[in-house]
Amino acid sequence: MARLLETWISQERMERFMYYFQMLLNGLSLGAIYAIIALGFTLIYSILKFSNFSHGGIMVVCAYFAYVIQRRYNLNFGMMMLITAAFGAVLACIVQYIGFENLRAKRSNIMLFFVSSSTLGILLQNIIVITFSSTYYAYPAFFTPPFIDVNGFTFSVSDMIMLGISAVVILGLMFLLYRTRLGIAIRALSMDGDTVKLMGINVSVVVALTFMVSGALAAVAGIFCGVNYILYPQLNQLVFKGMIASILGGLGNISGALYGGIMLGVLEVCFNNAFGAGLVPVFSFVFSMIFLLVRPQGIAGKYVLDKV
Amino acid sequence: MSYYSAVMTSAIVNIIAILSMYTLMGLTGIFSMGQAAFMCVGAYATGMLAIHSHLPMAVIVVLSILAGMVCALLVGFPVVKLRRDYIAMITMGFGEAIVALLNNMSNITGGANGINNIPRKMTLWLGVIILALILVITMNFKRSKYGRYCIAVKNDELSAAAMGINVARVKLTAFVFASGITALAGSLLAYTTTYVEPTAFGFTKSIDWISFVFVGGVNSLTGTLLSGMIFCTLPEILRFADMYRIIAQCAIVLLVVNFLPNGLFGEHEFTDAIAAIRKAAKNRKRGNL
Amino acid sequence: MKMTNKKRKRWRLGVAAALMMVSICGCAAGNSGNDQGTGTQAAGDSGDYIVIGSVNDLSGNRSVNGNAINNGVKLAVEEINAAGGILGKQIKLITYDNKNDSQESINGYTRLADLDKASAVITSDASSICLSLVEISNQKKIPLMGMPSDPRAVMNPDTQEVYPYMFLVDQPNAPQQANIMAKYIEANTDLRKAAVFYDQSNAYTVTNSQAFIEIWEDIGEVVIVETCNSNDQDYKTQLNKIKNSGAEFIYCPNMPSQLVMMVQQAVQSGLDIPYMGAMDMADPFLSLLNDPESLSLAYFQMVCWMQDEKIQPFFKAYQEAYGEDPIVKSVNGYDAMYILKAAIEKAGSDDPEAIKNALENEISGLDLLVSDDYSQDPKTHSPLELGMVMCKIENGKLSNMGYFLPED
Repeated sequence: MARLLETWISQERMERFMYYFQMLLNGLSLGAIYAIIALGFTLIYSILKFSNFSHGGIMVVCAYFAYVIQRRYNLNFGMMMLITAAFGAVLACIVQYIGFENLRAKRSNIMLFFVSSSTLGILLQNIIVITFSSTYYAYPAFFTPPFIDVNGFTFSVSDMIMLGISAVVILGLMFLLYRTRLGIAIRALSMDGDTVKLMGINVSVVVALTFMVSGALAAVAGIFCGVNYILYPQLNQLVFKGMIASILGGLGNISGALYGGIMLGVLEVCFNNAFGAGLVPVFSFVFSMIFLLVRPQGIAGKYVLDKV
Repeated sequence: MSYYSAVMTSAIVNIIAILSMYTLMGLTGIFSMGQAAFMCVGAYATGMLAIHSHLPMAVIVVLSILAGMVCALLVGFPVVKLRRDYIAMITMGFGEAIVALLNNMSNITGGANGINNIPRKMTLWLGVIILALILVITMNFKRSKYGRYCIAVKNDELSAAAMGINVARVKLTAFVFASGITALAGSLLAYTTTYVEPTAFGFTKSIDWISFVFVGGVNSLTGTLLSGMIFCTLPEILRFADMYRIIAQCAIVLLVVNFLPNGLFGEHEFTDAIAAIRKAAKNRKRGNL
Repeated sequence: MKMTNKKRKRWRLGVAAALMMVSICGCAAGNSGNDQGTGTQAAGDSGDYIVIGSVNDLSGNRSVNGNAINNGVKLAVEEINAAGGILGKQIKLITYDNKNDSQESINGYTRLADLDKASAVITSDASSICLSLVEISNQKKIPLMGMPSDPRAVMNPDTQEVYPYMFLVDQPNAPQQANIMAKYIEANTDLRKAAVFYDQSNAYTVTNSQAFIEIWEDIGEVVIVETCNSNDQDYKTQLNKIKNSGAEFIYCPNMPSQLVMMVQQAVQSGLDIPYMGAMDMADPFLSLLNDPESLSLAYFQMVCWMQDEKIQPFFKAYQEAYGEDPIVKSVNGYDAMYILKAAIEKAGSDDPEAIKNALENEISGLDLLVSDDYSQDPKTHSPLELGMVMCKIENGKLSNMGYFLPED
């Protein structure tokens, strides 16, 4: 039996298996970034029911902010992350105030939220373009070595930390949503804003707090993009990957964001492997279209036909 | 071609595209974040036909519009059954897919190098005529049965369906109609710039169009036309501001969205103003009598 | 209630009207302002200014290169003006942003030609921008100098005729760059199996790589060609394929941001073969790497060696003016302005037609940052026999391998 197994696991088969397993790991690490973007994105969707494109802008501003404070005060990774997360929270609050406070007060059409958020995203990106545009920047090396080698498989340290953070964040959010008063308020708000108001909950405060959480998540995502890749203003556009991930996962569903992100990451690596990188957007498009037709509620969502 | 006519011509091309966005967003409420992709389809169809064939301009333009509409039909068929944000995502994915396809099929599309040496056949007057034509067509579409269905669907899909409107079909009609106009804009763009390349049609363009429609007024063709005029000439007026122009543009959009949620014109058309003046005149006459 | 509604409506209409008025007035004011700015100078004391335009990608996806070129041009103009200008006249530089968009560039160029009465225009290094300006330059007849990588921007490939007003200055075009690299690899290494990895959505890398593939097939063997898109973040799949293909080196003329991600991910994937890059491997590429020493061997080409004695005055002046190190594109912009200066001096006037003729026929033996003996070829509107400085990165150390120009 052992012999049979040995012959079956030939050298070539083993290598193929190793190759695909490594691909899967790569997909996971790509998915981790998508997931953490999708998390902040979907959190806002769950209460205000619109796709918050300013999330990408906040991400990019935070990534550059982290670079600047790191250079000036020579912070370690944890401190940089904490300060930037706080900054992201404040920034998201400001964005909320400029972009959505008024619209919410007037109960404007949901499409106006969309216009407002995408304009804010473009605005934030262009502020970065104007301030930092004439050269490229990168963080110093935080993790040495940047990856761990286990039996021939390589794991990127930052990706693993990021997956870990995503998981912790999801657990934290679950706790927040289902075990605290604020969570109950948020969930109630996502169902019916008016009733919540009548129950004596200050809606503006709850919305602002939710935006702060999402801003902190955007900061974390921005920093990891900077660590894994390089800083450039177009990092903003990763928010669309986050959007696709959160839709595939089930819009407005917190854990769905994680599943969606990882699925998208693994799929992109698969398509890349099978058809070449040039055609990945084509196949992603076809796949997501078919997927949504078959399962419009996403992986973990509930499908509700909402009124506009 | 003088400076002013050059600016006006390129503004007109963009205004036509923004008008198509009006049909989608303003009338039907379809979030299309990949509408620029249909402009890309139109521009490439025109570019390739103009280079490789000897067809007259009119035929090429019509063929480009048809190409855009066929693409819209293919994408729209599954899309219209989906929800708002899903449509946004799928159309955006379509935009990226088209760019990737064009880059990949470099032997016929020129890839990232694009197509150059397209003859410049676009003139200011041709642009004005086509714009007027599109305005009339869109106005009639708005007033037609389908236009009213579209407004019903935008306001409330469920109740529109309850009223017996085939929501998916209305959405598909609007989508194909609008994409045809976008493809026309693309075709004219190719004839204006004489060069097309895939990267020029990203989703930022579509998002810009959407915000222009909202600044003009969600449901006002006049407003869309006006805001198109403002935003397509504003960058030229603000030339001295260099890269700060985009900030000014964003600031205007944010201000309007926040303080004039119905846009500059809301639901009004300029024909309303004429009607109001007439009415006022009549009243005064009556008063004098 | 009805009253307030009506009031609100009226107010809204008022705002609409006001905005429209502002835009119209702005249009008129902007133009009259501009006419005053340049027009009166042209009419009143026309001898004082030479107007030079710069249409560059200050915002948009190529803002890094566009700003660098524009800063270089600005620096050169300041120096020239401080030294007394050209032909006794000061230079007035008018900069327009094109957002990396063809329509915007056409409008900007037309504005420079019609309203600002520019004598010449310096534009971007993006082929797309230069290609879309070809047609309008034939109409407006103001010479345009750019650094397009695509040879189609200065010459019609079908008729082999140059476009009279388009000039490629200060660097070889992409196929020539690819040729320089290929011949250098042939002459100085024994690597023959190439993997080509390029960004299929970037015109420069496409033109460069395709030329390289064609040239390399005569020299060695191209074992694998892999592509990516410009906003991709994950290159491990392609790198794994390259690793398994048995290639001896990677030819990758990609953008700096992509190169950084690529090298870092290659280290992770255990791929350690030499890289052959283009100008984008120049600074600040090396400083962006997490661990520069992980890059064991790379060759690339530059228009000039940045640590050269000759470059130092420029380097210092640039640092002083903009608070950051110049990149290669800044050198291009700076040189382009000096080429233009030479052309205007040779032409003896600021007449666009005369400048065009001078640019075409009389640019030779210039002492620029990129070459001591720079000439412009009248037949191709491109630099004549311009080689490049070859650079080598070995374990994170950058070194100069000298100027290289293949013989054919």
